[in-house]
Amino acid sequence: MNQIIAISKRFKDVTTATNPNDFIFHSSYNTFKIIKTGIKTINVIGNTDGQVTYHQHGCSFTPLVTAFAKETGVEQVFLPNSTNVSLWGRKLGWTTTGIKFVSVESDSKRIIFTFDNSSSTKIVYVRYFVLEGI
Amino acid sequence: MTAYTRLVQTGNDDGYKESPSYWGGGATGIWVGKSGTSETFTGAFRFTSVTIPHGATINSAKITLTGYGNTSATTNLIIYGIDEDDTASMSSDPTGRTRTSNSLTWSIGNVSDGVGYDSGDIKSIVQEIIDRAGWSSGNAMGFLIPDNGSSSYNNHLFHSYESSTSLCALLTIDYTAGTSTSTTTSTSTTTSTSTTTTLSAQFIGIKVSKPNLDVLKTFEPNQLIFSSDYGTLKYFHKERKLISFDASSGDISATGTYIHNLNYYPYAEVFCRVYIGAPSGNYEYCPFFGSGSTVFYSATYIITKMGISVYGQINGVSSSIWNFEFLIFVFSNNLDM
Repeated sequence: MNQIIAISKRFKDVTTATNPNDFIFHSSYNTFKIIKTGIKTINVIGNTDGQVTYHQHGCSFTPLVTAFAKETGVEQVFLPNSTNVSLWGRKLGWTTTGIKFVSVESDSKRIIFTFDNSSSTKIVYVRYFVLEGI
Repeated sequence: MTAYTRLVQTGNDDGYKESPSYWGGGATGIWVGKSGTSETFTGAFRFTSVTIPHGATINSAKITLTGYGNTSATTNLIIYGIDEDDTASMSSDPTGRTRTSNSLTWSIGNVSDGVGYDSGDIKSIVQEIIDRAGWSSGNAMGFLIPDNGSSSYNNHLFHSYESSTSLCALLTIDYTAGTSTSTTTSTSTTTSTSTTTTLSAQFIGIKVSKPNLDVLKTFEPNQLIFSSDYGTLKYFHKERKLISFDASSGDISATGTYIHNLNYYPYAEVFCRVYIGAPSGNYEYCPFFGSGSTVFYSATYIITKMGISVYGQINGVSSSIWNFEFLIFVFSNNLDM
């Protein structure tokens, strides 16, 4: 007999539910464990594209990594594959702070952050999450 | 001789500083060594209720750090005590606190996950703190472990209180209680002794392994469905946000905001589909950019402490109402930025 541990959402019968969306936790399905998290401080040099910063993740495998960036003094968080915006306007498009978080990647040893900067040198904090082996 | 051991007891009692200014107080893991070509880490640890009396003789002392993941590098570190009678919580950056004049260098080679690494004998550091006039049994004792000349990118990650309440930093002290003599009209001798408090490390938690694995012998996170040693993403809310613009009136973009009211930057995942007329098409992972022969389009978002603002833009169109339908997943995990 297979034994499981399951916690259903409110008003869902844990003994009969079959849809994974009805469960808070189910031992038949893996969870994204936050294996590691931290903040990387990156000095993004002015007027330079393709700036690569490495961070050793310390895992024995190549992990799935997500990341969020924040410039010092700018009260918003932006994402990989996006430009940090200082203004959004209809008919105008966006105005940037000059920083673009190009990508976050990982290999067997490192997390790899890439930034573009069309403005002056800035400090950027990156919150990263090591979630799972790829 | 009396043995005393003490683990870090709260998340505000350990952390790491990454130069020049980041303090990782509630971090899951403690970094030491060199984080980049010039940036360095400083590990910080506070042990509360250190029941060693003033006047005791420290026979030996050490700090034990337990590996959190495997790292192949050599770090050169140096251990200082915090030269205070009863050092305060480390809820804010403690690395500027006065350091003991005594210190001890510590070189750590490759680190393996779950393995404990002992410092050398730091009895002179502990003795310096115990000998402070204001020290008394039960006070808190702190240590700072800055980098001491590691090569670029050579660093290690050790367990913090947040990653494991049983594998976080451990202080071990062997001491002999002091003897004091006082003389009045008649001579008397009193000897002070102290009780021993020993807290043994043990695993208390919940683990669920993948099928056909022995949960008691499985430690690799990839082999576990769930482990209370690791955090998870806590789902908070799902929101659909539709924004539109009329290209025939000259618009090229639209924006909108979902208010989460969490008062911190939450973890989020966002997907978007773009269509004219009735809802159709596939959701793409945001942010995304794309282009055709005559158009350029993008969908992106930012996170603030009160909301998530989404934005869609298409250059090169001059007719139709364009819809950007965002699917926003907000998690209660705090980015702590």
